[in-house]
Amino acid sequence: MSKLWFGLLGLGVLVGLFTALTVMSKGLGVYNANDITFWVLPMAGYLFFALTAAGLTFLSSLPSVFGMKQYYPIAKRASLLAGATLLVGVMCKGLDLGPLSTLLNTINLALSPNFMSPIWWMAVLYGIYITVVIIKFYFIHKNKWHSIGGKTSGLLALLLMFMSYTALSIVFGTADARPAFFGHFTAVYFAVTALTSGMAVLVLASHFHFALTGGMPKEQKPIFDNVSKMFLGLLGAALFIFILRAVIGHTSLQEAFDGFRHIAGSGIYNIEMWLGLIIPFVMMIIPSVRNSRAGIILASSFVLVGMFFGRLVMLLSAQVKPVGNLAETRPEFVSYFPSMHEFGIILLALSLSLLIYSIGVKYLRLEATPE
Amino acid sequence: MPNYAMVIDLQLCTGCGGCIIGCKNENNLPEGVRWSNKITETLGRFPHVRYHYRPTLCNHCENAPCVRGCPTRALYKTKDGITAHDPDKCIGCRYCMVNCPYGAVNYTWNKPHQEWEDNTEIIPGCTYSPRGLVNAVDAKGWPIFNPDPDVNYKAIRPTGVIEKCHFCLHRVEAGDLPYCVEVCPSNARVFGDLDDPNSKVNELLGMFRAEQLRPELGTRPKVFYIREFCPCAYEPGKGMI
Repeated sequence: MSKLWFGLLGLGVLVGLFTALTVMSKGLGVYNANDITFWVLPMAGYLFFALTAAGLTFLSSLPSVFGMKQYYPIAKRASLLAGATLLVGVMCKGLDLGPLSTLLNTINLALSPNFMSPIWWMAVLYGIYITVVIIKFYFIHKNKWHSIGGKTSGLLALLLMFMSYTALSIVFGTADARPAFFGHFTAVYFAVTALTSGMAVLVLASHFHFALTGGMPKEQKPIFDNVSKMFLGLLGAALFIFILRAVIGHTSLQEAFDGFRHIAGSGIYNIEMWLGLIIPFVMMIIPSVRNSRAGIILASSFVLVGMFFGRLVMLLSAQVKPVGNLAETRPEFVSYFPSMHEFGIILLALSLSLLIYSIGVKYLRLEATPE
Repeated sequence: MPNYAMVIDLQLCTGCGGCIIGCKNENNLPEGVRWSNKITETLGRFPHVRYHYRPTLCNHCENAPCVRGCPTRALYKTKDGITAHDPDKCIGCRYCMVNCPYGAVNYTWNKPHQEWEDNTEIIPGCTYSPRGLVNAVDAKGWPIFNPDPDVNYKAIRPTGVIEKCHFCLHRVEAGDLPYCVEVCPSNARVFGDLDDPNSKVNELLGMFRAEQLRPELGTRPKVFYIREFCPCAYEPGKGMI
């Protein structure tokens, strides 16, 4: 890892921190959000990183919880990546609430809880989940995989992942006023895409690491051959879910799906479909591409870019068509382009997660397995 | 305890927008925010067209999805059935905006009334600057600041929280009518207790077929519309081709 790389990441974090401080002092007015499109790019960042973390948590549990011992070499890396993506995901959500005065009000999650609110469950579960993921990584790093603490934190991380992911799905699934969030279908969509993006991050991070350190260890080749096939399978499942969602969205008679149909003609939807799903799926079908480092790095990068746009597509589908009296004096569909501050938040999240991972690569022996 | 509701008589409503302006003044609403609003529609095909005007506000739903979804109970039902908001508990998550099918919730994106902080005099040495005017009348935020809502809400809501119609809770608790009802020049709005069989609200609901907005969602809105305005007439016949 060169100093230039760390310097670039440091610069990204600094620029991002400046943006975050601006948001915390001035409020969300620095975003290109309004009462119509109110959940925008930082919220998409939250969904992307939090769901990717869910996928990574699942993958890191394969050897310890599901007994698939051959996957131990990917477990520590997946665990660190899960922590890093979860941390920046929760940060994105925090920076989507408001200025510091609003952030201080979050104490009311403890003082004035509403157990009927999916958002309350989501906030609490993600709070516990992130703590457990950090504890889990601590036990793995200390080579205490099979200690009571290691096993318990591994199991708890998986359970909390399922619970927090479920709460997140319910946040969107129960929004009866906005059917274009696709109701309870969201849970399936989130599950498959979370696993796919988690797998893409793991594949990308591992192969990038191997490229920098002189190649993949021979004993890990069969594992990554399997991982590549799993990645292909997940991409196929994600493509199927994407098509299913498109069919539902296009054939529904509900006017609320007009927003989806509008977004379906946009560039970001096409990026999700082509760059995020079809192109990498085709690439991964071809054995020579699937088995080449460049091919798999490229395919997983495409998936991540596409998945990120997919999160924004999902959010905007249910927002671009104004509801109720907000439609008054406005066009049938509103347009949206992120502000520099929104890009700054995503830059912060990306730089910070990469910085954590890079530090992990340099100092934490991510390929370690139980002795 | 009363269960407050509102009936809007569309034949009496002239579409003057007095309710919108009155609400903005009474509740110190910032630029771009409307608790009292309207939905207009132009229907038909020229030359046979007609125009619909429907005043809107928070429906104070009995089964309020915004209240159900609020993680910190910042949105709550008062004992009088009003959907109210506590900005000190609001975490700005905007899930209420997701859940409200009526578009009745606004988020305070920027500092409210910040346009009144400008020190530029329009005609130097002759007119006040916006801030000068606010200072000259010893107001807070904007020149026509009304401190009354401070009784049980924040007169001006801070940046980073949502805000919404609360049926002028500060007035209702003092025995007055919501300000939109008070200022309506044609008395198109009737406010009263849905649980009192003798209230004017119930008298009207018993007399006319009432409409609610999006009742199919199960929110049980408490703003009712009666007597849809239509001045049209046509010559009856035995079917037409």
